Amino acid sequence: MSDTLQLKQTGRALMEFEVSARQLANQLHRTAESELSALGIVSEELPDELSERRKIVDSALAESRTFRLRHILGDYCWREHGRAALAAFAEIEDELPQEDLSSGSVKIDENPDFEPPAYWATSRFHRTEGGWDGHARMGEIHGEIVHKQYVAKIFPGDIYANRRAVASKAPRKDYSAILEIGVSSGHYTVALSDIFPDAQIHGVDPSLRMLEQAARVGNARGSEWKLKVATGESTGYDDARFDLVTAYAVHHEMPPKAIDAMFHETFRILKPGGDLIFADVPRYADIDKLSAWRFDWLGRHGGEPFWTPSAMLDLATMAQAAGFEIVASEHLQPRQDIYYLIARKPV
Amino acid sequence: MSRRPTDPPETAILKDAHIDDVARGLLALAREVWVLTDRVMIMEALLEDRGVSSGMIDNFQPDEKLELELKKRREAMLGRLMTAMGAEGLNT
Repeated sequence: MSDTLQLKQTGRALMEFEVSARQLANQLHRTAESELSALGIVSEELPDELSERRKIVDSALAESRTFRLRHILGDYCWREHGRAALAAFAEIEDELPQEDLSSGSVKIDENPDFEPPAYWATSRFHRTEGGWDGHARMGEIHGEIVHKQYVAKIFPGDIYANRRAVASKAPRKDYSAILEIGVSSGHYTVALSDIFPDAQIHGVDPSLRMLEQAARVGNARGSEWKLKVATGESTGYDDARFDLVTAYAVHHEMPPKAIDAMFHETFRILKPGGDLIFADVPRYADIDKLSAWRFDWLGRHGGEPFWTPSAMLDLATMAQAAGFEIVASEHLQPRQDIYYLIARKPV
Repeated sequence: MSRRPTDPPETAILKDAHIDDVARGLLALAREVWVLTDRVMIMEALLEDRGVSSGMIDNFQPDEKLELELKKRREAMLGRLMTAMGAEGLNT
């Protein structure tokens, strides 16, 4: 498997247009926010209460022509990036080699009794056309086109290096059984595999299509991951099965109740002395008020219904309530970027 | 840009009834794009007669220099579009 799926002319041009449009939307957003200070709106003086902050910033920006354009362009990108990716894939689909995932080194338990939770089944995450499962090879469309040829180009920094950085924070290097919650297309699984080459890696995700893409990635590396259709709040594994349970960029796609259940489920399936590493979007309490407003606005409009409720949670306190001892609760870079929590199940 | 006393009043130019006009404008733009598509297809047919197939165009991967040129043109086009829609200060 090549590092990047090679698109044809129309698909490439469609995706590159989406990237440029999204980057321009981000530029317009920065310009519009810079207009706020001229209106006397500064981050430090905004209300602590997020709903009050929304009223002030939203109504100030409603008068900004730049912000209206940012909204129109952003709305276009949110609606269209998935359609462009589907069209780009359709252009190459017939020429892709036939595959037999069942013969690969990665094994998938399709878990036919799986009942997807309502929050997952009914949310249109990222407003991506087709959702997680809307095409027979949707995982490949997400992993190879949406993630690598769109998301990786519009988010600052190296989104894959962040995954390796989080996995490298693990307190031990000698785990024998690791569970990843929310495998998606396997980008974090690769980082775990590289950093813990001797561990047996398991993974769960509610989307079979995404697990299939993770399997393509793992098969290309000869990895022997064991994947299963399940959620982090109900994994179906035995008690004390793993010595590390970890998740990257999953919590912001879950409501607080499900996150709480995931902490308890993680506690149950960890061995005594086992570790938890959960990494997700920055905590609102740790970033400036205008940045928190920005994440909130993007969440409200960009198909992230649980971003704000999840970013407002104190995950360390939730972990303690589930029985964990806290090892670390910080951001990769202070007050920005990815937040991570490391906690241990007492012996 | 600060307003001057002689500037025309700031208004919301489009009313609900004008949204239909915007849709008609989009369809007119689609027709123009179609005329260009038709022309490109004719060019591809002519090029095919001379040994350049549409498959070669589909599979063509721009080198770094062309990629940069395409990016500049794409961003300039988006900039002109947004400027026409009211954005200020964009490099077009």
